[in-house]
Amino acid sequence: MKLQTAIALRDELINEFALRPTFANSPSMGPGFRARRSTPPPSIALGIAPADAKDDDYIIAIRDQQQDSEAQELIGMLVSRCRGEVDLRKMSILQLRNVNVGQVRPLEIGFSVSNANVPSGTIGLFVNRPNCKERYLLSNYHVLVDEYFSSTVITQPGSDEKTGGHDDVATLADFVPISVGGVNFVDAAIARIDKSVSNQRNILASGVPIQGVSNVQAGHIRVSKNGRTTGLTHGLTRGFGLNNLSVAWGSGVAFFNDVFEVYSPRSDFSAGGDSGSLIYNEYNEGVGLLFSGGIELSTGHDITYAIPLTSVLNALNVYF
Amino acid sequence: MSSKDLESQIKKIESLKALAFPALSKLARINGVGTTWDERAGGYALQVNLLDDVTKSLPTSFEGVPIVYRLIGQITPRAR
Repeated sequence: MKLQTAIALRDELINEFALRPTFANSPSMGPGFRARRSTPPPSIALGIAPADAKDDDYIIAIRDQQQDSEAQELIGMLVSRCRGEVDLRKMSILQLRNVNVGQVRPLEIGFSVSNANVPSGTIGLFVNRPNCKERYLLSNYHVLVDEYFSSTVITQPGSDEKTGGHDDVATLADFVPISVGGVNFVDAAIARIDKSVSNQRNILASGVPIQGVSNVQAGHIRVSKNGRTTGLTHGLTRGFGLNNLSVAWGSGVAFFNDVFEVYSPRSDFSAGGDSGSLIYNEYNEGVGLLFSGGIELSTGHDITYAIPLTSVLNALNVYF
Repeated sequence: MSSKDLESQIKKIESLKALAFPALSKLARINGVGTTWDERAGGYALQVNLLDDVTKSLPTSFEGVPIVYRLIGQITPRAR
């Protein structure tokens, strides 16, 4: 079948057989990500695969990651709906790569960090404040701030991969509150690094120190990031100056203004755990702080969202 | 197209975003309005993120500026 036909059929089947998670909010719980629950779909992935015989001929890719009688029955119906035009393979459940999760001293940007009570994210930058000798690490609000304010302890690695020894490295120092239901411009916080913990300068994955700050005011700018989960990845900017972007936030929605998009045509630019990563351009200038992401439904591509670095530095009155 | 022309396009789109959002929100569920490069037009365009695939029933331009629609799923913070 033609590519457009295959895409339409795939989307139709995903809806018909409910092969994507449905989310439900629990209004009885307070703010925080724990309030979200989802109903998992069957572990059967659908996509498009090129047919062997000729060009411009596509079939439906079925990836069975469940491999039980329920999956077998469902796959039988899918194959029938596709009139046998399928590429069926059995696969295990995939694991995220979790690249930068170890304890690292001196501290380095790109590695796992979080508030002791919050899921792990990434150290974005080391920064200073005017008239202050202390050094701070910068990441997202949702990585460094416990919304119940029960802890200000920051650990490296983050809470998902504590080593059990000398993980406490910093104390929450300042943040820009997130307005759930309101408009936000940044998702950022800083933590004061303990005097006993050394930190590297802001050395990028290329081995070069960060070369300043630049703004994203065009599409197709080549950018990179190094994050906790997916490590070093490269992508291109797309939409910029995006306003009214709604981000699922605990039991509500937070709106963000003036953010930009990054995508990678080859693989995902980021995944869960990469929040807080510094995004930089090919001149090694910092351009943004990664904070959220979603999937473009028509292509299946990951789309990553970032806040301009200038906005983050100004909001927290920090420099590097 | 000169860089001056492109800058002027971006400025025009910036000024239209605040108008486009409420206008298009009456026609579809929208999750973000911004600026993007439009390959077909060879210039900048309004980018409108949609929550539902209703592109065919929506206008292709706003105040003379082309619109590029993107169908984006739910956006979530990227902590672990």
